[in-house]
Amino acid sequence: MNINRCRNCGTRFLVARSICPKCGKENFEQVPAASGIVLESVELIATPDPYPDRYYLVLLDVDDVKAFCRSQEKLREGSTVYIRDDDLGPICTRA
Amino acid sequence: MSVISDVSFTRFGKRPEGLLDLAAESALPIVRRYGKDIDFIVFSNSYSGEFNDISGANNLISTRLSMDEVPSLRIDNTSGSGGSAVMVADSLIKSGNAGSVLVIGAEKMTGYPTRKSTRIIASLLNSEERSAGISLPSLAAFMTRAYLKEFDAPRESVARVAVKNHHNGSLNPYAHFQSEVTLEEVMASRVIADPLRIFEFCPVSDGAVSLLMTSDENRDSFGKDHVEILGTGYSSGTSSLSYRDSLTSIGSVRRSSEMAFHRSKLTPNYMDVVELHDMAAILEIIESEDAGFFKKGHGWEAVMKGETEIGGSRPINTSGGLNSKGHPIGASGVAQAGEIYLQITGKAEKRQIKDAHLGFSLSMAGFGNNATAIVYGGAS
Repeated sequence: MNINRCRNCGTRFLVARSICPKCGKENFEQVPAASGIVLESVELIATPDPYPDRYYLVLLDVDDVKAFCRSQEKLREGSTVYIRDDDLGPICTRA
Repeated sequence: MSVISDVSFTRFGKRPEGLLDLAAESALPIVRRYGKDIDFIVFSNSYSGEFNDISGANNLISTRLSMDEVPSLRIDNTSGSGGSAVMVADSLIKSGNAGSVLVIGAEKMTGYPTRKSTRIIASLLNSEERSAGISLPSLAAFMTRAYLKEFDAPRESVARVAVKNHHNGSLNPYAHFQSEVTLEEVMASRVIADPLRIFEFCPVSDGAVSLLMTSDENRDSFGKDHVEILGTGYSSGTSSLSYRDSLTSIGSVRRSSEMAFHRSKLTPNYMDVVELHDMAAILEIIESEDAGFFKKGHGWEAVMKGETEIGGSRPINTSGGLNSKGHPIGASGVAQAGEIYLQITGKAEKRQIKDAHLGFSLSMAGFGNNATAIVYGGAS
């Protein structure tokens, strides 16, 4: 998982943009994210193709940027998790 | 000002017919009556490419109706397509670019495994978020958890929206589900995205609905039952879910509703009948607050007191809503306008609200990516 950072004003966000939503400049860098803190998680039973039949969707705080992650285990709110990418997307595990 | 002068529904549900068959079924009663006067077709449909392997569907339907030379366009705005289509038709008429518009909303979605259709709908998300395995129902689950926690609302209040809307759907001959469910049945049904259960979500549906819209000046050529578009409002919110400030309030709903009420010079208190976008039951509660019908954090209390039922002080989703009527995506927002038309013209039969003169609909795209609010009035 990468977090986008505006080189001009430092604003960070997950979804790529061509223009910074805060300062309007167009110069960004990507910062790798390796860990985050669990804000909330939801167990999803009816899942979209091609994802597994059942997993937890986790809303994370990654250095004050919110991001979504998949987890095969229930993670406690407030706990720290490691983030990595598998073939489908970001997945997190207990730290 | 534009007016709605006629409406025609197909039954919503699992239908064997194709997209164009359904669209034609809903449009034909109007075309038979007024076809020669229609000079524009607005086709609300979002997923003909993904579900039906069809592009340029607006021209295919105009040919199907032998209206080959009538200009047409397709409005694709995901779940909010229908509200956008009514707003565009209103604009075409008010600008003088069209005199009388046939608005058709249609979607053919059944026939695929649920996992495949869930994937198709999730394609409206940004890839950085979608790749985590998000589905639209999972976002409703996050919203429910946040709402119950923030406002200390009972879990039962969300389920009661589904009970109410299934009751209303049981009174609607066009609804996908036409049977009631009890609170116990809702709470015992299969979990889809914890804590929300299957009865608290709309089904995957096929269906179509058509409206005849014209100018106030031309209304007398189109029968005697007209409902006026008193004001439209529209707004967007960020499509990046991780960039939103709140899980319990939808900015596009707040702003579009404020605009529609401001333009109509009316307030929420005047509305006799209201249709909201309840893809998930929690959305009805949150939208009822963001549109201004209840204070933030108090929408659940209105549900528990029965205020939002037919016969209550603030009836919401008399049609059964998306929850029970079904959610053939391109049709849903058009069907909201159709339900308000039936209510204000006194044709809503078993679900008729007494003395309904003013109405409101809220059509929402992509879990709040944008919304269209419409205020309706009149009945003459």
